[in-house]
Amino acid sequence: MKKGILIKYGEIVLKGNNRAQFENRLIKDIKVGLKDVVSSVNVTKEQGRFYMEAPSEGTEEWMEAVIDVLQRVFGIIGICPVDVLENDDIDTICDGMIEYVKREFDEPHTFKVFAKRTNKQYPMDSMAIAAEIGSRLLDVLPDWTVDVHNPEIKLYAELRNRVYVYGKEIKGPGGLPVGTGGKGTLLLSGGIDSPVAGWMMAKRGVQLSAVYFHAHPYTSDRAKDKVLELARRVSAYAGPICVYVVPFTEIQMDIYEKCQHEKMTIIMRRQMMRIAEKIAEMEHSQCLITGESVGQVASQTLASLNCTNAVCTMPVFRPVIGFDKQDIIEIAKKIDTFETSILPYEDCCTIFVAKHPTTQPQLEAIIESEKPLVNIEEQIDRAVRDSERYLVRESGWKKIRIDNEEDEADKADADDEAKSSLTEIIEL
Amino acid sequence: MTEHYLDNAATTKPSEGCVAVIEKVLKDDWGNPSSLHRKGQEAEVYVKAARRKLAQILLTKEESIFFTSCATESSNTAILGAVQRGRHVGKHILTSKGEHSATFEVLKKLKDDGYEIEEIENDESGKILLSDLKQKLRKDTVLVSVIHVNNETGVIQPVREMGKMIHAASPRALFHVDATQSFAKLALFPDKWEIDLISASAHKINGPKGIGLLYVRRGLQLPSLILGGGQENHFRSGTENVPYIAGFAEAAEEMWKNHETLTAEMQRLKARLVHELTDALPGIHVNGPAVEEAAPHIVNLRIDGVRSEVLLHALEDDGIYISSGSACSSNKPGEKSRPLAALGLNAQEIDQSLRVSFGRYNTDEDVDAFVAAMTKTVPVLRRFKRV
Repeated sequence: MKKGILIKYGEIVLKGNNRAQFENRLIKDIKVGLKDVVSSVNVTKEQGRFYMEAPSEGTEEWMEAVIDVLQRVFGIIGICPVDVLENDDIDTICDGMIEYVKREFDEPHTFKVFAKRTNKQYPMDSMAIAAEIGSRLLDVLPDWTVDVHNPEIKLYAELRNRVYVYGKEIKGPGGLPVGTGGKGTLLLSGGIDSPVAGWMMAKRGVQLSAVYFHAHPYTSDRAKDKVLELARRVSAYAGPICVYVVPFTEIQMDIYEKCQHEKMTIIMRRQMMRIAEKIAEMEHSQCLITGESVGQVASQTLASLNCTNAVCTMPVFRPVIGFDKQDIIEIAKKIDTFETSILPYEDCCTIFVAKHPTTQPQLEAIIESEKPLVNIEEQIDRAVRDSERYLVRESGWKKIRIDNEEDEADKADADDEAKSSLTEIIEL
Repeated sequence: MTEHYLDNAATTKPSEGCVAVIEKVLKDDWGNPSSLHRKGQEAEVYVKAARRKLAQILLTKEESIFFTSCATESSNTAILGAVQRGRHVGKHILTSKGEHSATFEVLKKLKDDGYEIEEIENDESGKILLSDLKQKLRKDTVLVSVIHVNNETGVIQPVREMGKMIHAASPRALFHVDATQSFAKLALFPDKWEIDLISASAHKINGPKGIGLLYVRRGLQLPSLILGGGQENHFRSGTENVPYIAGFAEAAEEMWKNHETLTAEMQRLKARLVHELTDALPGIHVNGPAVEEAAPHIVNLRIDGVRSEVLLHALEDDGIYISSGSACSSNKPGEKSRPLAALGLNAQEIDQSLRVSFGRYNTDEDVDAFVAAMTKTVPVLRRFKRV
């Protein structure tokens, strides 16, 4: 008997003609995710499933490592460790299931057997296979009882290109394979919300790049490291992320000296959006992503959001807009960004906050108070040009040096990892 | 860009001699001193020689020197050992108001365990009032633990006078001195001054990180915190860190041999820096002791209208490294510097305070660079305040 993992994927089953492309994309994501984890990765297609065979030696360690990665690959809804049987003879199937149950469960449970067969020529239909397995199981394990409505354990026998038996399913993250949903640029602060917002969009298949505003000397290099660490944690799900570290001090100082202080935060946010949009265009992104949530702070009232939104032509998506803080924190904990987010380094948004920032800004008034900022275009261009770029992967990050061919090639590879393969045929 | 490292109270650059010894031991004489064969014996030679050299600096016998992983371990061992040994004496402990976390946190834990921790009052420079110490010593005082040179303000505590006073009033009390900032720079003679326990580390005197020592007065038996193979005369088990022990001794010897010249130079540079800075900029204050009374290598400055953390990052751009608060505590907002609070500074004043600390490699150029950078940066930062 061999062991392996059966991978179930969700929504992408429904994608009609694109289905093969989505499947291939998902297989590629699985392979990329497992690249540094196991030595050889062989993913085989089954109808509506993928199968990966475990090596005969070190099976348990392999299973553990692979399952850990698969739980972070968007598009997967279920991960099932399976026994693969020699043939589809009904005796083999029943014996295989009995062996599986005896091995995997110490205590008796209520159960129900589900059978599936892709070969419609098979002499028994699915119901008959399930009934046969169930009755033979009860002969051997009399303490177990059948419960067809609310079973504690669901036992599956699936007769496909191979014959699989299993009774445990680990939840996958769901969503769509990264890169199938286009590309978005995330405004990444050091806080709790923006990594979650990025993760949520990545879950819908969106490839990410990110922008972080660095206000040296008001924010320390440790704050920058913290943001890169957050990006690294998100990239465990979202694949490689190019993070732009934008020098923002000069722009902030200019606002501080020339604009009314209670409008400072809104004007600063508008500058950030202008810069982010420029970078998004360079990155061929189709949207901006922020971690804003209605009413959380003064700059996140609807009036404020309208004022910041007004500088962008690109759509701005705010996936946590209707979330309570606690809901966001729960996701942050689940995706392992929370502990990093709460490290106490000041970010650029908090260093010059007015005591009573306006919460109901009028767009006309904001535009008026921006007028003394005569060099906006030039400042923004300079900030974009002087940005540092970091290529962030789960394994770590490296700075992309300007005009360095090797670094540029690395970045291009990372972009390819995420997008090019939509039409690529993967050898199975 | 030239670096101007003015944060020598945080750590120091290992000396070339020290690095050479460490490399030699790692490459050639890497045996285990506990081994019976020649390779082990060769390594043991380094440990014995190091113990002798370090003992000489304290004018004591090598039997009193025990190697640890750092001064924090030394202080933990000293304090926890002292109260364990004195459990029949009482539960009263005296300390200063501005202790390093390596002492403060241990005493805090002891307080939770039912010990009475009492602080000795200090004058406006942070120096302990001997009259207050005398008054607070009791028959059930089990330990007095004091930092010799404060790591943030540079105030020097009168440990020379304290020992006799403590043992006269509380004969069974032990006296622990945290000498992390003073060892091999300032005179410290425990046998003469009646000090029972001393903590020190190598990396503040151009030695490696990860090695420290604990001086234990001869005849004093302390319980061990780390049990095992019985190294360090059964006091601190674990295979000896031979390369770093050798490096520690080399660095300490280099410092102590010339300590009068070296500390005089540090003192001169420091005084020059303060003098020129206060001439160049308004609103500069010295926190704690007067420049000439403090430890030669530490000065704490307060810059009106500038947050020291921002200033620290701005100075990075000129290759200048200084500290806001002590490196061990400045990463934790909400926990304000105890030594500065002991001087009566409020939260905002502490926020505007920075520490400049000198070492044997500093030169007049470092002072020039610092004064120039401050003269350029401080007025800019003063323009932008929190609203």
